[in-house]
Amino acid sequence: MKIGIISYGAYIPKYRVTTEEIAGVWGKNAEEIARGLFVSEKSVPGLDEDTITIAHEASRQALDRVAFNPRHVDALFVGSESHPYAVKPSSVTVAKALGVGTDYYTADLEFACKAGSAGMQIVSSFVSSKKARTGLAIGADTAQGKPGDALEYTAAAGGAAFLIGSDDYEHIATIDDYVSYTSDTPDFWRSKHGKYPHHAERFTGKPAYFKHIFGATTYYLEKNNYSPSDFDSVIFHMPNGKFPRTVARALGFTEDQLSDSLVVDFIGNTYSGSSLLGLARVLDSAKPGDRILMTSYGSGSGSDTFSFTVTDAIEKMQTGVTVNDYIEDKIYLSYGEYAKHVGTVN
Amino acid sequence: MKKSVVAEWRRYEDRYRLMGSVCLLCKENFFPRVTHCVRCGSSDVRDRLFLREGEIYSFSKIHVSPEQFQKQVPYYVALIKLDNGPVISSQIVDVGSEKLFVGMRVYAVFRKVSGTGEQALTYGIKFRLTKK
Repeated sequence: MKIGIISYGAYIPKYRVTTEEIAGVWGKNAEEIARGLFVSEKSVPGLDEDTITIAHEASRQALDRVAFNPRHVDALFVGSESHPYAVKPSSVTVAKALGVGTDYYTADLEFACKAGSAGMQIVSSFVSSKKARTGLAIGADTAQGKPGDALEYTAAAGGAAFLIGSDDYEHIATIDDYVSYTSDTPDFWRSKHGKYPHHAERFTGKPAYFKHIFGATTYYLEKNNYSPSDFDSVIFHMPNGKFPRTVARALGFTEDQLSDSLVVDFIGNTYSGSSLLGLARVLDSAKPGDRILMTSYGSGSGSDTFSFTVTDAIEKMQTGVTVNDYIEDKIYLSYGEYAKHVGTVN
Repeated sequence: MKKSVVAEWRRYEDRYRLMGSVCLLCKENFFPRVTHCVRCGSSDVRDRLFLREGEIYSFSKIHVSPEQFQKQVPYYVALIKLDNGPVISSQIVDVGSEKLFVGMRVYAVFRKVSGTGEQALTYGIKFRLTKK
């Protein structure tokens, strides 16, 4: 049985704070930081937005694009590292507000920035095993960065949702295969009651992000006998703008294959939403027959690689709100307003 | 004021999804849901899911708010005429430099309404300006 993406939705809050605004408060050189990270502004949640509302908006769009009856959603998984509650699932509120009903498989997922792609694997596996005919896999975050920390320039808000289903439904892209590459690597963590994450600075690079993205992607290419030139587009997790560009080059992908996915340049790192938002932006302009490769990364650490083949049905889908529409629709905040939005001041 | 989580839970269907009522006798729409028609008294009422779009019927900019919304001032509250439903009151969110006017198109979004610290969070429908 073929499985594939029936529809997708994305959401980015309207608020932005610039690298210049943050750097000005901490006496840093904004130009140098923006050049190093490839990030000149980031998205910030509204005062009444959180992972649940972002996940809902992205999912609502995914369902509305194909006028999909929410009662036919058999599984729903929300991946995030900023679930509003420590105990009480985000997924049930998202499902209730969508009108999913009560007969669905669900759980909240957490695996740093790859919880969204973990959800895509779980829903795909439910559909493959015929326990579900369709399911929503959602990655959404309102990422936290300690004031003054390097993460403050990139930790952003946004999310995307993918409605995955069996071949009883029309697919806009088939899911060809997926793999994971995982190890116990302490590059980034947030303690049980901690408000902000800690990171191991340069250790987050080579032994963490690069090793796992490289590991998952090369394993996937070898397993399926693919080479980088077999793909029209590629998406890598985007903690900043530099890392995906570096890993793409190292793996033999070109800037052209990568460029459509780089939402990070405009909104920063949306954690569990990052690679999924990249995939949504690629699908916004994909053509029938395009081959797409995606590798996520979650600290701790692991990477998931997927590949997709776009079908003719994509053309019917490219009419609604695009990721670029959200990127361009923005209100700038001062640092003080930003601090209020992310709860640094109450 | 302490809110009852159970009282909130009873209204999820209305608040999360814009579920109201329609009187099958006189066809009047209601939001939130009712057990009897307020207009003709009939008990022959059914649930009705209203469309998530409408237009501004009237609006006000709030500068002095109840305590729980103080962080959000100034913000807009509006009466909204739903496309297939009654006039309801709600907050208009994410307003930047746009000037609001009567008749302006809006659509429903799902947002956090209240709850901080150790409190249970409440969510519900608010409205956003429709992009031209």
